[in-house]
Formats: sequence, structure tokens, C-alpha cells
Amino acid sequence: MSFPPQKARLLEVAKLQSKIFNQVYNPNQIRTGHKYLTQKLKGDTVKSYYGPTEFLTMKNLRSMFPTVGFMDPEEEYRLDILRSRKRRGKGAPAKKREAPSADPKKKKK
Amino acid sequence: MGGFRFPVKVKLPSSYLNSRIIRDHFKRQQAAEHEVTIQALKYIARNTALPAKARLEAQLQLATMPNYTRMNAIKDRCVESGHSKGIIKAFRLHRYQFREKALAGELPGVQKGSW
Repeated sequence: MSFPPQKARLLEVAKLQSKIFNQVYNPNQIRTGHKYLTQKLKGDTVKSYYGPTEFLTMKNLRSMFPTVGFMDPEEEYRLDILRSRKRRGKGAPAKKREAPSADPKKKKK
Repeated sequence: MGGFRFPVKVKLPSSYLNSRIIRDHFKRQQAAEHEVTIQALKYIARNTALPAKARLEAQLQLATMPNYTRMNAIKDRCVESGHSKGIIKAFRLHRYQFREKALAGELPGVQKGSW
């Protein structure tokens, strides 16, 4: 007839096991906060979620090399529309040459 | 009057920007910076083997950490549109932005299913 092993013997096995597998031996299950020490730090991945902060944009390039004529399709498109409007007589009115007459506030009254 | 909303200067990311993305980006920078401190304080506070006074002190310090330093206040947002819901995590995109980009062939290896 076989008997189940004694508790002390089982604890010994657990201790050896934790030593082999590099675990923490904590037979009484005391809260040691060990998990906060072994948790992976995720700061680096969390930080760069929205992409790099140092990123060369066309806007930067234009300000760095103002003499080089970089193409800007959106701006070209806008200017194209303005030109066609002007041709049809729908452009912005020409600016007044004279300075505005004194105190426009008084007239409003 | 309260202080500045973002008391620490942080460089802006290269993604699409709106106020919510900027706020979340700020939180991420702060959380990353304070991560080690918070983990250490947590270890002291939760360790029942340590003296009660030290644990209490750590707990108080945790409670008085500056704003926007908690990891769980971070929310994954769409990097193209700033949406917070319906995000496909692997692509960091809102489901609609994902669809548009995938159909435009801008996501390598993604094909429209057809069978």
C-alpha cells in the first residue's frame, strides 16, 4: 500500500522546481509585489504610437531650401482655380489705393 | 485659474493631428517617462513583507503623481483620422480609414477578400 507523500516533502519539491525554472518560491502565497518587478516595461512602444516626432515634411524642406522650387500639387490646384475665376471675372476685387477715410466707426452710428 | 494644461513641452508626432491626438500623445510621453517610478512605488505599496509605514508612504506618493502619468489613461487612436473607436490595432487605423487605404493599395499584403 502506498501513502501520499508528506507535506514537507512536497514543499521541498516545489522549492527545487522553482529553483530550476527560475521562479519565486512563495509557499504561503504572501503578496510580495513580485509581479511589478517582472512586468515588461512598455514605455518605449507606447511612446512612439503616433509615429516619430522628428519627421522631415515637405513644409520643412521648403523652409530649409527656399530657392529650390518644390512642387506642391494642392497649392498649384488652388492657384489654377483662382486663375480660371479671374478669367471669368469672378476674382477678388482689386485693393483700394487710398487709405480708408477717417474713422469708419463714426459712420456706422 | 488652473495651471497649464500640458505643463511639459512635448514634440508633436508626424501623424494626423487634432486636439485629442495631441492630448493622448502627451499622456503617452508622460506615462513612459514616469513608468519606472510608478512600478517601483507599486512594488513597495503592494509588498506585504515591507513595513506598513513605507507602504503607506508609497501609496500616498502614487496618489499624488502628476496628471497624465498613468498607463491606463492611454487610448489607441486612429493615426489617420483620430477616431477612438473601431480601431484595428495591427494597423493603428479606424475601420473606415483601413478600408480606404486597403482599397487604395497603401497597406502591403492586404487584399480584398473574394471567394
